[in-house]
Amino acid sequence: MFRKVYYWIDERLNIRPYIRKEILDKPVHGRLNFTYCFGGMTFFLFLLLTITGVSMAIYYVPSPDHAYDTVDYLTYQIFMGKVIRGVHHWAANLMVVTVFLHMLRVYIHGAYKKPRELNWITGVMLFVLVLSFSFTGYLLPWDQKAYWATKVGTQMPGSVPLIGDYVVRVLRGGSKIGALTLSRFYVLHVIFLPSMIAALLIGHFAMIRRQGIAEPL
Amino acid sequence: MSPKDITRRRLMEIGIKVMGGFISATSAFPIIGFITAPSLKQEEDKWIDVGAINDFPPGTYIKGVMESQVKDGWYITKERALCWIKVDGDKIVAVSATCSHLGCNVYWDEASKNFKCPCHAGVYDSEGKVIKGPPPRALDRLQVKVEGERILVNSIPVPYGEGKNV
Ligand code: HEM
Ligand code: FES
Repeated sequence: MFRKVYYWIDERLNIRPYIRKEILDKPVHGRLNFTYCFGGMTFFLFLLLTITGVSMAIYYVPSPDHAYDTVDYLTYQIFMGKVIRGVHHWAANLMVVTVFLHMLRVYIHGAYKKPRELNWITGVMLFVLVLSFSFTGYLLPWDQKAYWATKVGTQMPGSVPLIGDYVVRVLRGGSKIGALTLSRFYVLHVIFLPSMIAALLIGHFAMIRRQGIAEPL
Repeated sequence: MSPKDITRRRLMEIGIKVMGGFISATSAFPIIGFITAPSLKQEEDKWIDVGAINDFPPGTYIKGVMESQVKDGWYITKERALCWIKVDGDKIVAVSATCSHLGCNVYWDEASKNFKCPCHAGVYDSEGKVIKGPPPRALDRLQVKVEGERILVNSIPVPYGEGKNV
């Protein structure tokens, strides 16, 4: 069945030589090792997070009255709830680890040097986005841990001179953590950050394709 | 193809496909289960108090309001539904107000002694059988029981002509 669909598409678009040349038979230099997989692992975790995250968004309600109840419901009342939420939780934690290892590998191999500076720069932005995902996602279950972690986290920029207080208020949507904080964190977590990360990843991957993987030193 | 013909390249290709298939299948199962789980849940039946016998003067249909607490997923809320109740000596009939066409509430029209639906002009006779309009079948009945002076109806409707107490 799949073969038939594939042939049908191939007959019209002639994608087979392209898939061969660009994916299956794509030459890379011979000194790759497993540390080159960290970027790909990060991307795989990102896909997992997207799938499990969209699934949970079907049940989650970002309001102070309902957030905790809906998380409790989707975890304990819905079939496979613990698995879906657990995968999201662990993939999120692992993604921070793999993205860091990926960065470390690029750094140790000196792969950030000319001509790959732009990829390092998009990389730094991606790193910031990954951490922002973690920070905004942490508030969503709306339990004690979420509340106090976000209280502390949003208080930190308060020590920046002059604009500090303003930044805290913008992050919280007011002076306190409450309904406005929850809904803006939710939108950041499920709409803004995913679209930003997707856009930057397209650039990241396109540049790797254009320049090829760097040889180790 | 004999094993000899399988090149290293071909083996890698097969490996990629097998692993990709395995990963997709093992992720698809929990995801699809998780998303569809609540849709497959059967509604539990319960007995709902619609009032005292004295609230329903005999001989004609009176509106019965079925108010009950329901668990709507993670949300506990009050649900309201209507039925039409006729007390006739010992016999009590409860007709579901839900139109068999697309589910609007029908009303009892005393003048014509018909049930009428405001949505697409469906008309039923006093038994709930279709006279006119798009409804495909008679109005459902609700099981009735009397406890002391109170009338209770069952939340799960029964098609006309089936079950007891109809
Ligand atoms: C969402 C996060 C990220 C994903 C999914 C991702 C993905 C990838 C992938 C798949 C590669 C191919 C080579 C490899 O895997 O090692 C790559 C290369 C690269 N990445 Fe990332 N990356 C991410 C974040 C970062 C970060 C945080 C940095 C550094 C600040 C960075 C800098 C680079 C550079 C410079 C290359 C080119 C390396 C070379 O040509 O050898 N990336 N990235
Ligand atoms: S819903 Fe009653 S006639 Fe269509």
